[in-house]
Amino acid sequence: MRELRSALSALLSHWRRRPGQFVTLVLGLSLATALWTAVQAINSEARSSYDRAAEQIGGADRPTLEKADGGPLSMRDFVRLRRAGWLVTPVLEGRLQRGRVILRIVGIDALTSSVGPLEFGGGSAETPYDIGDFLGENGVALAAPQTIAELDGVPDLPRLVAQADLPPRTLTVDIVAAQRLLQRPSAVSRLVLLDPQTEAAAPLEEVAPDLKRVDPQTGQDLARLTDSFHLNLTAFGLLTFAVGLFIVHGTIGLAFEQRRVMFRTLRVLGVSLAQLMTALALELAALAILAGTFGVLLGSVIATLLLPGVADTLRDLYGAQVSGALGWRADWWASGIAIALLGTAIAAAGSLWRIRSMPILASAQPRAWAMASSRTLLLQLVCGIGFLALAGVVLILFSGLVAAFIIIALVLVGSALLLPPFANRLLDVGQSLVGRFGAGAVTQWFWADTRQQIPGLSLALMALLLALAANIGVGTMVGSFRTTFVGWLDQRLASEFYVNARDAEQGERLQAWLKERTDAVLPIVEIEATLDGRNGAIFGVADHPTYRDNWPLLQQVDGVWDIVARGEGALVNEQFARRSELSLGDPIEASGLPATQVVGIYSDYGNPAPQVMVGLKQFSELFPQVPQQRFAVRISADRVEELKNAVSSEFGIEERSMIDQAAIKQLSLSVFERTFRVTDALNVLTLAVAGFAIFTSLLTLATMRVPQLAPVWALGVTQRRLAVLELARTALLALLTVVLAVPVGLVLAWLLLAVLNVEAFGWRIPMQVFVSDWLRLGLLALLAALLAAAIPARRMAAMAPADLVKVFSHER
Amino acid sequence: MNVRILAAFAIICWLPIAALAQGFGGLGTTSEGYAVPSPDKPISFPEDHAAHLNYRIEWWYVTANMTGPDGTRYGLQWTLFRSAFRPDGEPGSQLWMGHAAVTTPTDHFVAERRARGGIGQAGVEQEPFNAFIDDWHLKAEQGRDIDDVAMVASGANFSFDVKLSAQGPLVLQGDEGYSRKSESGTASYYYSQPRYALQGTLKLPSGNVPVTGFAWLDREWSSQPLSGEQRGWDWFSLSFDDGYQMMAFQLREGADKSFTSATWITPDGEPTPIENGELEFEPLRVSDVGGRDVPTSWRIRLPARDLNVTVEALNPQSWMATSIPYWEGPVTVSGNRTGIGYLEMTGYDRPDG
Amino acid sequence: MLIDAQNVHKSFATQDGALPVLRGVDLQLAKGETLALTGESGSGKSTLLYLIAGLDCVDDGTISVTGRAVHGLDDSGRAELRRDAVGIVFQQFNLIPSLTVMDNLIFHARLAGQEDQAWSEELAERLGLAEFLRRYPEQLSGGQQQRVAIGRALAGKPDVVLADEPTGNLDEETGEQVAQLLLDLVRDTGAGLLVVTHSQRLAERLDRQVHLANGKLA
Repeated sequence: MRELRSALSALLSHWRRRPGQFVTLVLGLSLATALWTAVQAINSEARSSYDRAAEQIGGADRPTLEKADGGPLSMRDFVRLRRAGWLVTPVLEGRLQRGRVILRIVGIDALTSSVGPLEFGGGSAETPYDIGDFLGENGVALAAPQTIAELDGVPDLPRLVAQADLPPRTLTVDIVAAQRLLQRPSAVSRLVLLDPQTEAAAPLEEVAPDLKRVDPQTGQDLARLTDSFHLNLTAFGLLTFAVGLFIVHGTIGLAFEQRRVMFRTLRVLGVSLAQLMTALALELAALAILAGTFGVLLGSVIATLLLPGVADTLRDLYGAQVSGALGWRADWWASGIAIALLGTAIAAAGSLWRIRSMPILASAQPRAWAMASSRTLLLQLVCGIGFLALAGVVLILFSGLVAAFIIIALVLVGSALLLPPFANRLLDVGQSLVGRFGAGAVTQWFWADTRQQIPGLSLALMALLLALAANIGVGTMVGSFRTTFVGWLDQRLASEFYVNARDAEQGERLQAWLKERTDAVLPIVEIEATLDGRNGAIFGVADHPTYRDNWPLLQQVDGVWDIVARGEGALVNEQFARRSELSLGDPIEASGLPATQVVGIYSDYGNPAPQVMVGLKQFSELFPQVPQQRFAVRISADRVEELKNAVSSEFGIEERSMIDQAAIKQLSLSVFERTFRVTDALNVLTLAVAGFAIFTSLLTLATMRVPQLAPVWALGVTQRRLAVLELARTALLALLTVVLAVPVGLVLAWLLLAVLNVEAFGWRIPMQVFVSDWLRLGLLALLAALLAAAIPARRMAAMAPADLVKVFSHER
Repeated sequence: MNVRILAAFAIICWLPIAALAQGFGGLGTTSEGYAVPSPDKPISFPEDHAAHLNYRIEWWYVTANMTGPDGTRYGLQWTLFRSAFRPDGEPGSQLWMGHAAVTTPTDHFVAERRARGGIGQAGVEQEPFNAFIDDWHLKAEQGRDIDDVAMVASGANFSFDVKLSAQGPLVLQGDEGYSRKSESGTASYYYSQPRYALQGTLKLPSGNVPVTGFAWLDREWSSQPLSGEQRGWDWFSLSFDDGYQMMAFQLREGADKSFTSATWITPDGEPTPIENGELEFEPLRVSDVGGRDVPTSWRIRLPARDLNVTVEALNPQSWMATSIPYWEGPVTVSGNRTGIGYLEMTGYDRPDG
Repeated sequence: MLIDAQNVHKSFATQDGALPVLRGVDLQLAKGETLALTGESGSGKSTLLYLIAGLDCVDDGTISVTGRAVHGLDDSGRAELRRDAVGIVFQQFNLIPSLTVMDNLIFHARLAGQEDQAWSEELAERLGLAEFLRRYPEQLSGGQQQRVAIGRALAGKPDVVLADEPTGNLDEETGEQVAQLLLDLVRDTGAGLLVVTHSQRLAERLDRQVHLANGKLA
């Protein structure tokens, strides 16, 4: 113990003397941990939101009863079943818009619902309420405390009462209150079967032959639906963590190299190797826990900043309500500390091993950071090619989201491994070229020496390569997506004006009224349907040039619109076609739909659910109970405002039930931009971490460069020139990395667009290349590298000649 | 009787009974806007078999002692509680709750149902009489009155389907049906049918059991039935082998203080009220019921009638694990009179009960 | 006998095969004795000292230090020997750069659990380090650093002090002073001293001299 304590105090004294190194190490590890933790925290928050949603009274995870013909349920069905001894509870769910806020409304019958966390009479002293306050049209709404905070100032809401553990952005109200809020009198979304049932009840066929039992569909469960999104975030977190590890590896390596003398002295003075190793392990663990804690705190800050955006994205993309506020959870705390420990162990393993095998009498002088070894380069080449080949094999043989991520990981690691041999080869070529053109001695030395630096810088350069490739790849994906999306919006939103009537009766009057005043009125009708086991929708489409000319069809048969208008074929969206492997001519199976064949496939971005479109006439025949209340209106754009006012005064339709083309496009684009804000933020952070990695590596190298540079200086190259050459060298290496990162990034983009997106969302987007982005990114990387090199270079330029002379005066 | 009051209030408050055992202070004032029982307004039939929506609470409460073909004794309970949460007398302002139980010497099966009024899921129709919640009912079988009724209820692992047939007249409790519940004068309307002949079938996990026996119906409605520091009660309905019957209860107010009340019923159904203080209740044995100490054996003395009996639970574990938990089950009477009966106890959820 | 080396053999692997450095060396050091080990560069004198210190292992032969058989000890055992019984002074000072002079001075004693404050203070005083105690090694001159190293070796009052060219990195005058301090202090503590040196002047001031040539002692 005494030896351990003494050894540890000597080891730790190193950091006191070199606070900069200490800060670098802790910062590097913290950064790595922080991004990982941020992603974990976001995922954890989202998952907990899904869990709360699932265990909610809504009973989404329980079997339900539905009308066999897909028609709507009512309270009468509920009572009929109860009186027959079937233990069911009604749920009415819907979305309610109030101003800019969209809320999920869950109407329940607290008297028959045996599931869920509702507590009555448990109202705290500040919000006393009882079940009498909850029941009825004007009953209170229960909501999570943070939801209530988010709804501050939103008008036209029931009295809100806080109750913990409710899902975010959701109001839980009495079913009667939900019917009033959603303007659906007596409506019931589903009848949830309770457990256990009594044995006395008659079979369903006798009691209610018009109903059928529907088991919960795991496929549409939120967690599953959003898996791809979270996997994406996790992958990003891992990538940044890997990049961060390069920093840690560099710093730990440096700290170990610098203390070789100390290690030897300690051993000479009687500290055994085992004690030394233990002391080092303890030191590293302490550092890891310190940095891990710091990283977790930093990560929670990042997560707090990103979470609102993620929450919006999840809602817009998947309809999943996720709290915009971060809760503290033990799982991501622990995961942050654990990853810091693991990362430190990985980063330090090599250094520790070298100390272990260091003979006590070997020269304690810090050896060159890493010697250029042709064997290492060959190994990297072979492994890199191997990884890429493996990626190709996986691509051919496997499909699925996980496979897509594995492919991407293999490509990234493989490319990173190939960087040093490639850079080495390129510099080799450069060197022989300048040799052939009779370059001066300094130039020759410059090329040779640059090549010499590759092993030492390779880790940092790999980190830069990964960050750059990720940036190019993700940037290309987002850019391609954006371009495609904007074009698609133009096609999809061809009508100038959209309006929702309050009910069927008003819809009828509105349609007649609009017909006389506009170019065309196109009803939009839809009904929820189960399409190949997933929740989706069937739409009715009017026979009109608006669709014939504009609808974004990816594939179609001849005369597609005539066939659809005649009710002889249907259109499906791309994600339905891909998931269910439908192609033109295939039959579709959907509840309430007669056997119909696919005659066209249209793109449908921003929507994870399957869709089918049939002719409006056919739709009305099939689903006569669905009223025509939503209309797309064709009218010259300059008359939209006028029409809006007329509709408003004539029908009393509120502003929120009408939207013009420009507004809806803008809304869609803002949703899109928000979706990728998280990606952008992570991109920037990754690049920053990579920049930091280069900086630390250069700093590490610089301390060992003096003996290498001193002879050149002695031979008559000025310190200033040497410093400039150091900068040039860094720029050259960074440039090389940028050049090699472009193809890697493009491969990554292709994988994201053509493999991952298809797996995750069900749509494939044509890839577009944005060269100006690369240039910007390349400049940025160059700048980062130069900045990183500036400090060591300045130090070189300003170094007292005496320090350079020392190299010769004694071998230290 | 008063578990029924408490149960009815508790569906409003959604509080477990334990939370109420702190005292009923707040409940005394909540009758505002509701009708209040008065000795000047006598009970009249058949209207009063139906629901009284302008009163705050009400119940239809049947207990029965039965025997199977092998002589095994069984107990049964069927209850419909009504509770208004607004004094407007509207169906939509009512909450309904059903409790059903079957007790055997070794098992106790319990079920509960809840419903809101005004949607047809639960209610009481007057002619023909039908009290129902979900598929449970207490329904006129022959004629339109409650003299002959069918009674049905079911739970996850049991159900019963029995017919009740009145063997005597309805009995008005207290002062012509005006039943006082405390010295301060809180009261309820209260009548009973203490003697139904019962025949029917119990469906138990072990199989179907044909049973015969006797049932006792209690009807009570009120708005402000509780007072002061009443912490729990012990209620007995006893049928002696010689044809006499007695309804008796004590409301425990403090360590040694209680309000007692009883009705002595002759074999022809002639009731005599017994005043506060005439009865003596003494717990004889305490059973551990799921961690609670519940007296499942009692001595009851009524010196005026020379009554000195011991009442013993058929199944000490007759715990009603419902929204409002309480103890309710069949009992055996021995001593200077013998017979059978039903016992209901509340306020034993906490050590100080 | 403080040190008893018998028939010590040691060779080093080189590109041209094994290069024998020590070929059957016998060396003894008595309690309180000071012994100079001289020889040409590369004669193996430092190697012999390292073998005695347990910093390296013999190929053949036996070495015992204060009665403990060094050749039979594992790494931990040898570390323990150095910690408890041996003080070592190197040509290249080998101070811990991140510790102050004071901490360096008492480091070995503390490691061995032999901390003696009065003695440490006396050492600092006699070595002329009293005013530098809070400084760091890099802020001292070579001679001062070597004095710290000597103090460190003696602070734990070891049984034997091993010194490898203790004046090799110092100018003549400084070397003289340092050597004198070393000898004085060793004599005062009663420890045995083995000094490897090629300085004849230093060697002559010790009780006894042995010369290593061709892998053997002359």
